[in-house]
Amino acid sequence: MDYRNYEKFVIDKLSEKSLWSDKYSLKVNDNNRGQSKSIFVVNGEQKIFIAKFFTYTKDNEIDIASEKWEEINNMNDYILFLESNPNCATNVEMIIELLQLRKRCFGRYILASNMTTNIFPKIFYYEEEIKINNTICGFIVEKAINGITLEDYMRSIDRKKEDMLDIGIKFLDIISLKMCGYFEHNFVHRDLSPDNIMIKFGIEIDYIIIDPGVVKIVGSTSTKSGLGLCKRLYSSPEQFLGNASKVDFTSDIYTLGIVIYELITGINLINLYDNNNKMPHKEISMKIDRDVEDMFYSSIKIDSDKAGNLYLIIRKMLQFKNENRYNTPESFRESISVLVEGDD
Amino acid sequence: MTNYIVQHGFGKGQKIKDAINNHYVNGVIFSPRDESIDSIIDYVSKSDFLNKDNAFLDPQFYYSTYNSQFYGNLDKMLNFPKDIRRKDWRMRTDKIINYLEDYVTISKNVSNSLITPGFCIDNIGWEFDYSLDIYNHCRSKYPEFKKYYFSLVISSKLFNSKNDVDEILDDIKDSIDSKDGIYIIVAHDKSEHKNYDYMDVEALSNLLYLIYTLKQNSFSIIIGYSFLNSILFSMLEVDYVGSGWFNTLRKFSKNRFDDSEIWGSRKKHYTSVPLLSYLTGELVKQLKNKMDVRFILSNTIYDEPFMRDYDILSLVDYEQQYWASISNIINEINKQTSISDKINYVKNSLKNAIDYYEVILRHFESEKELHNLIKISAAHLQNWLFAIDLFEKKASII
Repeated sequence: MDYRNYEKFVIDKLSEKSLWSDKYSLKVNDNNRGQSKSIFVVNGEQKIFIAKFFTYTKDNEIDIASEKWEEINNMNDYILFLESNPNCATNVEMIIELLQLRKRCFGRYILASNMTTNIFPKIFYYEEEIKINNTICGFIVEKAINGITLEDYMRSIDRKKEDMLDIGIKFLDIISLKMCGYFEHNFVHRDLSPDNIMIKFGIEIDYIIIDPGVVKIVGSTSTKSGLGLCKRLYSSPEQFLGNASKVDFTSDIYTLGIVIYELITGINLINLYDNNNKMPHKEISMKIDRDVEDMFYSSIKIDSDKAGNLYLIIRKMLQFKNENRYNTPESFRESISVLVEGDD
Repeated sequence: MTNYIVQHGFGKGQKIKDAINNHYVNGVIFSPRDESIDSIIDYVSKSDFLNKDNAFLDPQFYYSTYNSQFYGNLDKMLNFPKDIRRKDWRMRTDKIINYLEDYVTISKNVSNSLITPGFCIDNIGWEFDYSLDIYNHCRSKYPEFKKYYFSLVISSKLFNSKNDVDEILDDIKDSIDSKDGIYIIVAHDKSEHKNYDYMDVEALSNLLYLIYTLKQNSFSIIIGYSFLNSILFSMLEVDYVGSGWFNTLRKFSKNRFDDSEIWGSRKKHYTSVPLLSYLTGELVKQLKNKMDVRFILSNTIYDEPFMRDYDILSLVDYEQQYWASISNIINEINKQTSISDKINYVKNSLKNAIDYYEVILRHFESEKELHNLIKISAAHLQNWLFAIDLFEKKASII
């Protein structure tokens, strides 16, 4: 992959906005995921910014000859081209819908980051549409987190040596506080997987939620049912079934239940029960007071009140029906506060 | 101080008389659905252990919106209104007004208190508003009772939301005279948990918060259809807590109508105060094979025969043993002077029960099925403990 044009774009834009320093250099992020390409701006080992390119148009969906790209400068031109060349793809209507969805997601990313403070990484600069390397992208420069993803942490942690109860409770306390911060603004993240949570080690550990790329604004009806906007292994039942209209803050609570259970036990419950053509979430409900509970306690060294209370919270987070999870973000936080303040 | 009373149901026989004479309970809430009004009036007037101060009549008006096949005796004497709709109270139709007249006349023969008829409340809507209206109507039209209790039959689902509970509290405080009382029945949904006493932590904490706040506002409280959770309510100094002889008289549910337990084969359950749970006689027999189980005893006259052979005791004995055991712990709670002492007492009892269970479970680690059965019977303990912590935070109890 040739990143030279992307790198040049980043340096030009940062210089233009007086964010560039001669001490800085660029480092391509090897861990590019989904539809974005990203480049770190570093000062020695220290990551300063991350520049992200959210690709709206994709080569595998439609093949446009390079000479045609000379006439396309933005999303409108691209859509006009598709509409005037209906035979260029098997389902032009669907592609247009996907393009618009990706752009909407980008807009919500900006909105979610700008409306909340200290929840998502700070955005220093963005452009909704740029044309680069014959693609149309959204462009963001945000503060880089110097840490590792929860996904990497979960792979490396030695659960036999560490106090998983303490780690689990601290994680839940910090993340739930941040989630309630964006719930307050009627946002639902919808993709709260371990690769979208960063850990920053320091005197105090911090967990940072990143990539609100598929955030939903509660009450908005623009997301059509059936569009999968989350990772299967971290989906709530309603997301798994493609029922976008039922997705609300309790969907993120369900996902967090799956994540914290995996953090503590090393077991992803959806993966574990994803067999026999049964819906894994139903299986989780069936086993919640048996195997799921036993596996949890096997990973916790001390069977204390705190462990019991943590399991009761996880049990409630993993309820199949939205209405049986927490009724309000406040009640969710209140339970966690009582857990954190409780006796050991 | 909490009075422990009988929740009356079908087939009372000698049960109430024995339980009162043995000082396990000291009153009754009668169910006109399960026994004819004439028989109830006759029973109260002729008994030397009941009087109009410790007898209550549950109007069971909530059945009026249910299918009439479930009315039992309700429509045999009273002009019990069938298939009540919203407009019936709005238009003050004869069928409701005549029923109220009948019900009040009958109540006078049973009790000095009037429990006013109310609907089952699934959400805060007309059923709640009209139940308040009926209370106010009865209070002004029939002033001859010593005390009035507003019926609050409330779906357990409603307790998922503290905001809804706060709304109910505001309306009650605005509409009910604080010298009066509230008769609270929780209508439980079918639980997915195999432990009978298990209740969602959030919902239970909100229920405790509701009761506590009502008590703080000086309302007298009767809790109907309670099970082992009677102790949680006595911890909050409710005035009366009612519990009956069948499981359907200990946990109110709209799904109770198959009443299969009455006719099917019931298991003999021993109520253990130290474990704060029920255990089948069969399970205790298995425990006895591995350990000395005297620590589970509840200090009742049934303990010795139970230890010899659980089958010596009849189902009726186990009903009395249930009341006797719960009465023992309620008496201990009553001895604590303040609410915070009572809360601490119950929390310590729960912690002790959890510790006892740990000892038991260690003996059965290799027997998976039995281990699991024991674990299920203990599942409500941590659940209650956490709900109390949560309730204390909601009610700002330090």
